[in-house]
Parts: sequence; structure tokens; C-alpha cells
Amino acid sequence: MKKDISHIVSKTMESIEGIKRAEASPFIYGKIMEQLKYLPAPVYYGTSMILRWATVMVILGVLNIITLKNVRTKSKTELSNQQGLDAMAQEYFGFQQSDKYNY
Amino acid sequence: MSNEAELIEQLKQGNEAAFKQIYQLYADRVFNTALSIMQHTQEAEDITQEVFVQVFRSISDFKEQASLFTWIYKVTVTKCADAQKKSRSQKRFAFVTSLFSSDDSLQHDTPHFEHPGIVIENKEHSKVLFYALQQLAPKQQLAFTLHKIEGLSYQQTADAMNTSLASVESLLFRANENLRSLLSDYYKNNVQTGASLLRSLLLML
Repeated sequence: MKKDISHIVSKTMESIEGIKRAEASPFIYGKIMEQLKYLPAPVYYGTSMILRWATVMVILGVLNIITLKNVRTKSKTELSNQQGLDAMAQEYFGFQQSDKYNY
Repeated sequence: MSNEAELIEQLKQGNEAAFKQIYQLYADRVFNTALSIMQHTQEAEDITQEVFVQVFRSISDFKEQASLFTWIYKVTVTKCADAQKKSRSQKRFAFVTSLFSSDDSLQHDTPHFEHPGIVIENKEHSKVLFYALQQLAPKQQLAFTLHKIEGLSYQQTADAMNTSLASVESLLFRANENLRSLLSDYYKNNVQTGASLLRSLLLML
């Protein structure tokens, strides 16, 4: 009896030998495509796209630096104008230019 | 290989023809793996569907360090493991609820699954084997299915399961041992049941 069971077990273990692959139903592809219709397309950034983005970012950076430099120069000029005005007021009227007047 | 690289590149750009080609290459493998693990045609079809939707959506994450073949198997294995967990917890819940319900018709698991790729003379034995396969620990079942049914090599099985070669060898060894023990128990019980049935029939006569 023990021998019989051992034989049957071996036969059962061998029963999947030569198993063929089960084929997927032909309708699955249609179902997948239907499901994918409602999904957004995958976002893919190719090399050229990345290069384009990098170029744009570099241009933006350079423009930012130039603008910052211009703003600083402009404020410096404005300051020197103010100082010049003060000096002229001192020279002609003998007092510092201010908003307070003595009537 | 270059063809595969081209396909991946085209799929990354959302090319439907490339997706169809990949589907045709791997659909049967994915379905067969899912069917052998889940032992349910509808569930296997659902998993196949989920796997390919995932492939389409996540192809941009594919790093091409492994082959597309391995990556698709990895996705399949993950989906099957998730479905198995869900199915096992549902079975446990059904068992618990059946203990408290007035309905006495508790359904016992019996060998029922017939893999369509099995040769006719092995059908009955394979039913019992698939039944025993379901009683194994999930990892052992997975390793056995990928190697013995799907025909993957040890290395491919290890890659698909994201584990080491030694671990796969150990899993397969334990799976074989446990299957033999489960089958032996099954046949012992069945032979005893058959013998007692025969005895009672003879007594009745």
C-alpha cells in the first residue's frame, strides 16, 4: 500500500511534464485598450525634449542675472543723483535739503 | 535585443503598435502564469489585463537594467501575489462567517482546476497536483509555478521573484518536499475513504 501511494505521488508530480502554455483570450487586448482610453497618455521626456528644457532654463537664468545687474546699477545711479542734489543744496542755501521749511 | 530596445523606446512615446507587439509577445506567458497561480480563468484574465495596463503606464520607469521579459514577469508576480492575498483573506472570512451562519452547506475545497495545457491522460493527476500546489506557502507556489510550469530557468525565476538564486533553489526543494507530503496525505485519506466506502457497501449487500 505504501509503495502504491509512493508510486501514485510520483505519477502526480510528473503529471505537469510536457504541459503546454494556456493561451490568453483574444478579447483581453480589446479590454486593455478600452481601459487605456480612460487613462492619460504616458508622459515621456526624450533627450531632445530634455535638451530643449535645459536651453530654456539657461536662457531664463542668464536673463535673470542681467536683469538683477541692471536693477543694481540703476539704484546705484539713483543714489548718486540724490547725493549730488544734496551737495548742491548745501552749496547754495547752506543747509541740507529737507522737507521742513522755516517761514 | 535591439528590436526590444526599439519597442521600449516606441512604447515610451505612447506608440500603440509597439504596445500591441509587446502584448502579443508576452500575453500568453502572463496569462499562463496567472492561471497556474490563481487557478481561475476569470481572475487570470483580470491579472493579465492589469499587468499590461501597468506595463503601458509605467514603461517610463523601466530602467532597462533587466530585460523586458524579466520586468513583465516581475509585474505579473506582484499582481498575482496581491490577488492571492486578497483571495486567501476572502476565503478565511467566508470560513469564519460560515461558522456562525445557520447554513450548514459549508463547501469544502476539492481538486477542481484543470489546466488547459495538460495532456488528457494526466488530467486527473494534475488536478490533484494543482490542488496541493494551492496549499503551499505563496513563495514556494510561485517558485514552483515559474520554474516547473512556466519553464523559467533558476536565474530567471530568481530575477522575476526579486530574490537570490540560492533562495530559489531552497524554495523549490521545500516546494517539492511539501508537495510530496501533501499528495501522500491526500492519497492516504482518499484510499482509506474509498476502502471504507467499499466495506460499507459490501456490508449492506
